[in-house]
Order: sequence, then C-alpha cells, then structure tokens
Amino acid sequence: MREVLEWCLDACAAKHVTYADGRFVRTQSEAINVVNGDVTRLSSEESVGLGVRVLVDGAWGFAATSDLGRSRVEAASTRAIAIARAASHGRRPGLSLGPPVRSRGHWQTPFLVDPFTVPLGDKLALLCEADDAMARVSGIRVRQAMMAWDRHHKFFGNTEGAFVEQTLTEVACALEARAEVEGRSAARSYPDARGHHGWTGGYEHVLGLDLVRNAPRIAEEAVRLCTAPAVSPGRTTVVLDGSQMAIQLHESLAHAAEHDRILGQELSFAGGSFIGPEDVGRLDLGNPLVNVWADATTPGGLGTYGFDDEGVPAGRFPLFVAGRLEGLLGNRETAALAGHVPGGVARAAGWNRLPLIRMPNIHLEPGDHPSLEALIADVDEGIYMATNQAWSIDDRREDFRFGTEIAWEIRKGRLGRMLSRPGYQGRTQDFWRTLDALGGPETWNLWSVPHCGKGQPRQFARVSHGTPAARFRDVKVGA
Amino acid sequence: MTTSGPSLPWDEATLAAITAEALALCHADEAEIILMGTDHHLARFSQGVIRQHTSETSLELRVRAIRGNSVGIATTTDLTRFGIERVTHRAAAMAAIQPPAPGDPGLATPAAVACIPETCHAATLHVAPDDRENAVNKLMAVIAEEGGEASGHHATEGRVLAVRNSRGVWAHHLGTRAEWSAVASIDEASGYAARLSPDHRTIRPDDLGIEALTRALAGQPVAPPAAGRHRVMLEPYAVADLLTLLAYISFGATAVAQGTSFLASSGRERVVSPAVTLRDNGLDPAMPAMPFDHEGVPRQIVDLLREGLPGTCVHDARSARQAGLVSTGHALPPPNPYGPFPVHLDMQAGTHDREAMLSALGDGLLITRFHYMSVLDPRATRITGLTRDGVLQVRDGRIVGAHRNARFTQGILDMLMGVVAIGRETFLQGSFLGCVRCPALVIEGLDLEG
Repeated sequence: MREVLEWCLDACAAKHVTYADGRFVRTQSEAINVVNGDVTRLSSEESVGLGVRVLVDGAWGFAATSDLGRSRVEAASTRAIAIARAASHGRRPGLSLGPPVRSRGHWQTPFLVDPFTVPLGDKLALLCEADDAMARVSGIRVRQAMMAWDRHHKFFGNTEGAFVEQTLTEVACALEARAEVEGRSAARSYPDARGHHGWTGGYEHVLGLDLVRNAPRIAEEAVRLCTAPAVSPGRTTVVLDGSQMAIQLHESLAHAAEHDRILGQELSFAGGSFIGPEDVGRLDLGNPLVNVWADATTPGGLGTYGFDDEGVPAGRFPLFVAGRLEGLLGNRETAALAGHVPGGVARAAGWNRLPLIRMPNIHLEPGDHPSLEALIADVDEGIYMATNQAWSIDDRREDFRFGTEIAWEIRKGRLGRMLSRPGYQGRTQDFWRTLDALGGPETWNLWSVPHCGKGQPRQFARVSHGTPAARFRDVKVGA
Repeated sequence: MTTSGPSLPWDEATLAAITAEALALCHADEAEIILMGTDHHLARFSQGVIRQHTSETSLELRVRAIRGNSVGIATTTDLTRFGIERVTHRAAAMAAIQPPAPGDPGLATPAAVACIPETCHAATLHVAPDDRENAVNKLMAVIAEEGGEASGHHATEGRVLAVRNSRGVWAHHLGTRAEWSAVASIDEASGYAARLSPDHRTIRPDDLGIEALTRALAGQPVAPPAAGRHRVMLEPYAVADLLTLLAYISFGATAVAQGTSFLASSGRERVVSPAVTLRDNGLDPAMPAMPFDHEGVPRQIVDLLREGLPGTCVHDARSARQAGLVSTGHALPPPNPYGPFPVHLDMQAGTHDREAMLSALGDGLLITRFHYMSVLDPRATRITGLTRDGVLQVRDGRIVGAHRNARFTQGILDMLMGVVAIGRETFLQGSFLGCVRCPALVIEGLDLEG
C-alpha cells in the first residue's frame, strides 16, 4: 500500500504541485438482513482504491481510481493536477493550509471480539431468534432484523511528510417491528430507528444489546401504538429521550457549526447556517445548560478515529460552552483562513470521495438530574417522546420539525397513556433557550446517525452523538 | 450509439471477458455477474470560484451466487485474477451458510432487450477540464453581472453496466449523463435552476444562470407567507422533489408488500387529479435511458398513476415472484434489501405555456423547490418540508415580490388531487433515485405554516 501512495505522491511532486495527498483505502463490509424470517441479504462487499488530491496555484484537484496498477495510479495523479490547473485560472491567490501536517503513526479501533471472526451462522441465528420473538406477537405485519460490520484499512500520505495508517472497525444492528391493527400502522425499533445503530468496536456491542429480550417489547409497543390516541396539537413541556436529543443536536447545532456552510461554500446543496463567520465568541444561545463538544476520541463512537483524512490527529474541542459559541468544525483550509487550529474533522466516505468537513462525534454534556424519572417528576403536564422517526430542518438550520416513534403523556410527574404520531417543532435558537433540565451521566448514551449526507457526489458519513435525556418548556407539539 | 473515437476505459470485449471469467470461477449452482463502471467528472463552485474539481474512474464487480435457493452476494473493485477468484468464493460461501430458502431466487432468463439509440454521447464523455471551467465561468459571469453570487455544480459521467448469468443472459449498456445545478444569491434572495441530459451540448449554462438569476431578482424576501392553505404554482424542481419522494415511498414493490404504500390499500378510485399521469420510462433516449435492469431483465414502461387512477408498482425478480407476477425490469444493484424502485420518472406534460400557468395561478405563490422533506405517514403520503430558493408572490398573474421560506406539512396525493393547470414544458433533472422529467403545476392548496 505504501508503494502505491509513493507512486502517486512522487508523480505529483515531479509536477511541482503546491501540495498533494493520497489515500489508499480498503473497505470490507458484511451484512445480514432478515425480513419476516427470510434472509433477504447476506453480503460481503470489498472496495479498494486510491484518491489523490492536489493543490496547484490555489486550486484543488482530486482524482480517484480503482485500478491500482502503477500507470493508472500515475495517470490519476496527472488527472488531478490537470483539473486543478483548470480550476486555478483567474483564481485569487492566497489559499493557505496553515502549518504543515507531518503526522506519523498507526491507529486502530480497540475491540474485544473481532466481528469478522464471529461465525456467520452465529450472527444469523441471533437475528433469527430475535425475529422469532417478534413473530410471536399478534398484529405484527413486518419484522426486520439486521446486522452489519465493516473494516476500513486506510493509508494516508502527503507531500509535507505525513504517513499514517488506520484500521477502523464498526458494528451495527437493529430491529424493527411494524404492526397493523384496525387499518392503522405503526413501527417500533430497537435500539434506535434508521436501521443501523452502530459503534466503532467489536461484536461485544451487539451482544450487549440483548436483542432477543427487547424484540417482543418493541413488537408489543408497535401493536399498542396502532390504537393509541395521537398527540394533540398545542404547546406543552416536552421530555426527549437520548435518541431524539441526538438528532436534535445533530441537525440544529452540529451541522450549523460546519465552517464550509458558514462561509457559504455549500449554499447550493447542503445549505448555509444561522451562524455567521464572526460569531465565534459572540453568539450566545442564552442557556448555560448548552455545553457541546466535538470529540473524535470517544470510545465506541462512529466518529472516532486516530487521524482525519487530512492526516490531522483526532481531538476534542468545544463548540458551545454555557450556550456561547466557542468553536467551529473546520478543515485545514478554513482553519487557516480563520486563524484557528484545525480540529481534525475532514473526512471522506471512501477512496473515491474528496475529504469534506464532516462532524466527528458531537456530544451534549449531561446535567444533574440523576434519571429520566427525575426529569419527569418536575412536570405537571407534558409529553415524553422517544426514538427519532422523522426529521426536517431548513437550509440555514433554523426551522425544524421532528417526529418520534412513540410518546407517553406526563401527568403530575408520572408517565400516563401511550400516545401515537408524536412530533414537535421550533426554531433553533428559541428552542435551545427553553431547555430547562438535562439528565445526568446515568441517562447519557451514544446514539448513531448512520447516513449523514453531504457533498456532490453524495457522501454518507457515520457519526455518534452522546446525549442525555432533556426537558424543554413551552414547545409546539402535534401529530 | 453516437460515440466516435475513444470512449470509456472499458469496451464490450473487456466487459465480456471479465464477466465470463467470474462466471467460470464461481462454484455455485447458479450465478449472476454484474459489472458497474463510472467515469465521473465534476466541478462544484461557489462565490465565484471552483472549489471542488473531482474525477473518478472505477469498475466494480458484483456476484450473486446461488446454492439450492439461497443467495450469497459479494462485491469487489479488485479485478485482478486473484480479486475475481476471491469475490466469487466469498459469494458462494455466503450462499452456503444459509438454511434452505423457499422458492426460485430469481435469475433472469435471456430475453430481447430494447435497442435504444443515442444513449451515449461522445461530447459528454470528453469534456476537458478547461472546457468545464469555461462553462462554469460562463454561468458565474451571467449571475455576477447582476451583482449576484453563483454556486452549484456541473457533472458529466459515462456509465457502463454489464450483466451475465448462468442461465444465458448477457447484456451490456453504455450511457452518459450531464448535470448542472445553479443557485443565484443576491443578499437574502436566491433562485435556482438545474438540468440533466444525456448530451452535454443540449444544456446552455448561461441560460441556466439567467433562469436562476431571474428568480433571485424578483425581490428581497420579506416575511414568510401567512399560515394557511395557498394556491401555488410549483416549478418543475418542486414537482420533481414531490414525485421522487412519492415514488420512493409508494411505487416500489416492497412498500406495497409491506403495506406502507398507498397502493396497498387503494382500490380503483381516483387518488389524484385526472390530469395527472406519471410513468416510469427507462426506454426514452431523451432520459439517461437503460434498456435493462441490474438483473439483465428488459425494462418495461410502467404506469404509476394514469389519469388520476392508481397504477402499479415496479418489480424485480424476487418481488415479482412473491406477488405471482413477472419482473418489470426495475432491479437495483445487489445487495439491495429495499427492493425495486422506479428510477426514470416521467410526468405527462400539459398544454399551458408559462404565461398561461401564471394566469391560471392568478393570486398565489410561486414555489421554486423544496428542501429536506421527511415522511410522517407513508401510507397517507404525508410529509413535512420547507421551501427553498424562491417563494414568489404572484398577483393577477404577475410576480410582485418574494417571501422568506416556510414549512409545509401535507399529503403528496392531497396536493396532486388539486391540480389546476399543467405546464407544457418539461424539465429533466437528477434525483436521489435517478431522474425525473416533469412540468410545472398549479395546485389548489399547499398548507404552509407561516
């Protein structure tokens, strides 16, 4: 692999580029899907290739190839230089990458049980057992059980002297039961919706979920949801579980803090941000409970790695401290522009994609309420919503509407009736001001967002968010 | 094909040789071999400069191995002899590990595939980096002349698909697509334009710049529109957003079988305006046509909605077998747990020119496109989302100002039930499913939240 990188970087250096980097990536992915007892997917995927990025006269060029013969690799380098030269015509000079990155080292995901060594038959048997447990609940029309495990073997080198090797291992699994009763349909998932609850790490994460014990619970809840009353429109106190808080944090604050959005570089596709380029240290959400950190070092997070795809070491830094904006998510280019230290958050979805500013794990620090029950105990009348199901937010990350799979009414500090079709909406800065209590470390967990889309050609990133349960006052709710 | 001179890095002989080698090496009862290649070039621009300029050349091999009736799937981009041996071995091993499965796994048998002329355009395959830059500069200059800033993308791609299986299927196809998007921003106002074509030469970037700019010049947005139901004209971009999401949640066989599609519970009663006809048409050379699917099955033209009545969903071999039907030729690449989807949406045009559309709107809103739509109830086609890049106020058929963006929450079928007028011009655009060709619509009611 090192040899392939050297072919590519040598070819770039010979053409006197300002900068070049190369990434050789081999990704192995295996997955099982069981639907209503049938194996609908048992697959083993492998993708190997090289991406080369060059900076010439202030403009970037990127080329990727799956053919790793020397002539093809050198041709990819030549192609990257040619398209950078074309993009550089008439360009304003002065693009800087800041201090050189000369990282050296190796990093690999720690795990207890390598998921690639667990027999396929054992994994299939576990999913089938969970499927059987859901099947025993009357009223379930569609049962789904899935598991996936991936390994990304990455080599990065640049013309500044960096050379790093990483091996990232991920596992994921999920169950879903869709019920149909009296013409109404409802779904419940475990441990989370969106079909892919994952971690970096080993098979121990899958075993820790106890899929079989939770399968009948979600199936029974799905059946009950079909005849449960819908959430009535109005304004009330809302308690959100960690799953929903993860998507709330992801969409309204984490994306908004991406420096390329803030600079207007993503206006036509991903969108912009309500945060302005000069807002660091000034923008205040007006709530000391809002403490948000970017952390690519969290054990188990899907946004956990040793180095980003620019070779910058992974780190931990604040985005919001006591409600005030204190940092942004930037790559080498935007960090140099703003005089910041790059946070190590440039990631590419594969060897054939350009590294973009992608959030690592983004966490909301826990508060001081020791349990979910303690958060609810202070509520005279409200709704507890759990497990994200729908999400929508405008292109400036201000106007959002989210839905969850399930809810319960709260009456005089206790959970009451189950409610169906829960949803709530608001405006980002107003909403975070209404946060009045956070669960403590006991309620804080990692939740995953497995298909975060950005870029053209489209790239999907995986990321985790550590979030506690949280309580918000005077929220607009409805079905 | 109109291709002349050099084409993609892989010619028919190369595709035939690789697929034949893989089929011979696959030790299973039956097997299907798929090769998918792309030669993709793209420039993204914003604030007057090209910020990302990328190029990808890749070829991927996918193997479906069948033992008994169990299917194992493996893929690789390593097309050395060693790589091909390993991928076929992995697929066979995946099939062997499974318990016996019921029913035929659904390999296609040889069938006549339509010959579609002019799906591969040499002009699209051979856009030089400097030519791409010049075209992008042309678009940016048009917008800059009026004090606007341009952002967007321009991509060209050559794609190959080859399918061979142990029942004798051999099909291969080479196609091209060129795509543009442009946003013109002037302070708080913005406008959008986009096009897709198999032939790069048919899209004029300066025309797109003018189109996006015209919307941005309609005025700086004031407050969002008042909450409530509005009569609106949806530009073809907004219509494409709705049709794509409708197709995703409704017209795939899996959604019907699992009961989440409205087709699962609708009878023969009308579900949208009788003026609406929507089909999937992968055989029209004006689209990025594809005469067969990823199982090598010839594509059929499928009526999804016909004069307001529900049509049928699309099938691959597996879903068709389960429904007791034959495949419509809409299989996606394996491994695909989601089933088939329509990827060439084609809505029938109407008779109104643009002026007549605005007259039909009278007093109302002109919506450019939608953003971040999310499904709340798939069977009711109820979604939520926001407007983007232009909500223009129209009075007496004339644009008189602009609003800020607003949220809507409503059923797509409900919107389409109230179609008042349909434009005669259609735009072809890319979508997350594939492509959509559709006209503008005037509809009676869009429920905005203000």
